[in-house]
Amino acid sequence: MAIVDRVESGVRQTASDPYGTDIYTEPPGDPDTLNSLGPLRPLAGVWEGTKGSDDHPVADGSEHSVFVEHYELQPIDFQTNGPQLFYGLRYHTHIVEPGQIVTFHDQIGYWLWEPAASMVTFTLAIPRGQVLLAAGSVDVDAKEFELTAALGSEVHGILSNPFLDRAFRTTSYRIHVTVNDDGTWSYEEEGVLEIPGREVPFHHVDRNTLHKVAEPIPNPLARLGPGDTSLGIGSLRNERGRL
Amino acid sequence: MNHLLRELAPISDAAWEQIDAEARRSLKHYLAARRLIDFTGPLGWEYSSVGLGRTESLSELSAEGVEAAGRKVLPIVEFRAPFSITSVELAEAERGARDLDLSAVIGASRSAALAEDAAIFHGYGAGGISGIVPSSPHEAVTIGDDYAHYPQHVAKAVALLRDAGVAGPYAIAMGPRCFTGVTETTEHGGYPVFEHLRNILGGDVIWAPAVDGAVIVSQRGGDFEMTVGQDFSIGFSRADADDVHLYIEESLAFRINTPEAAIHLAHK
Repeated sequence: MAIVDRVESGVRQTASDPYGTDIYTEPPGDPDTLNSLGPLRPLAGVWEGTKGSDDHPVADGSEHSVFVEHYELQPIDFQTNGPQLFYGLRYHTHIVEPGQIVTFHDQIGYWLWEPAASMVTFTLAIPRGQVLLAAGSVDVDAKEFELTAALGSEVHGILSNPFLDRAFRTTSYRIHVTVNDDGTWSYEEEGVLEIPGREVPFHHVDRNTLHKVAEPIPNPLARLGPGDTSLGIGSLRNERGRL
Repeated sequence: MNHLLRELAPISDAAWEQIDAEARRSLKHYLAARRLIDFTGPLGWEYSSVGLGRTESLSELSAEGVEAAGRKVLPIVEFRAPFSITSVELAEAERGARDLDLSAVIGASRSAALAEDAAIFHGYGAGGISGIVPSSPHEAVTIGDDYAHYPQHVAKAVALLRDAGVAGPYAIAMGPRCFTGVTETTEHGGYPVFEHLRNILGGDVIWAPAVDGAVIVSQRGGDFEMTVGQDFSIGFSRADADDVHLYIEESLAFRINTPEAAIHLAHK
């Protein structure tokens, strides 16, 4: 899709964005996120996969590991940036090697569906000092889609701590998701790493197929239900005192 | 339709919008305890008690060789403040009026907010709510009308909390008399007493119209916990020839985990 930048009323706008020049007005959202997740709806819930596959770099080449994954994706209330509206899943995936307790990999973030832009955005943070933001254009009823991020991008980029950046620099990231007919879903993710002393980049690839073990818990707004007419006062702890 | 029966009220959407907005604004204006304590909920109108995680032995055996214990719970208390609005006034909203006379909404909101705060700060025995002030084991710090001396009083109270092992930051809920006096007073050199108190406490100074004197409460969390079943809502009672009768309602329980995490500042 061609993107043409233009400046209108002081706001940079691209031909591909659906937001217009009013960057403040928020659209109404569906309180029940599970109804509005588009292609992410089949991913909502708690999942397990016992046949994960991981090819990662070691000193003398690469190593293949099998892993067991517990992947939880729970709906959050719709989120807005002015006119931009997201429906999302907050996720946490925890991975161990078979029969082990110690964490092999841990990862948190959000899967976000933006209906107006027909876009899925994915955030990833791992407790080894690395974050990224990946995205891709996806049809609302897609059963298969791919998201990407690249080092150096100002929008869908990758950031690593100084050691990782020097020793295992991730230059690109890709995750391919497939929703299977049997109710499972699969992913293949690939991080391309530049490693000192190696002439060609290393392709770190993880794959797994996940089976549902529990249904998602509706987001807070949905739990209120359509009949709820409270005034929504709630906690005032974050509101400042008054003079 | 739920028990509030709002759909049965002869009130247009436009009027409901104004009534709800005024109630929301007024409740937030008058409520103080919610700015200082932990909050859980809303858990729904049907929610009826908070488990305390404790039991009491039941002396009468249910069967030979079997001991029995009852779980201790805090019952949920319902507060309801009725009010009425004239049908003539409500009809104006449909004509586009944005200035309905909603003084009854403000009055009921004030009553409901003060009922909640009075129960939390000073207790409501009939509802099983032990207030922060009666539960505090600390002797109250005596205060007077010399507001320039309030920093010393507050520093003394904070020192007592620290000595009792209660960490800060702290905040203070001030009754109207104290709050007005403090905000109007400067110390020698012109430094506002209000700002001096905030520096000592490390937290906010809150206007709390239901508080008698003032109460300093630790803000470290985990000490005082409010559980709400149904948060403040407006329901419909009945309508007659002239008026529509409504009410503001909530259901709540209040649990004190650390009574020593607060201290009262009482007038002489």
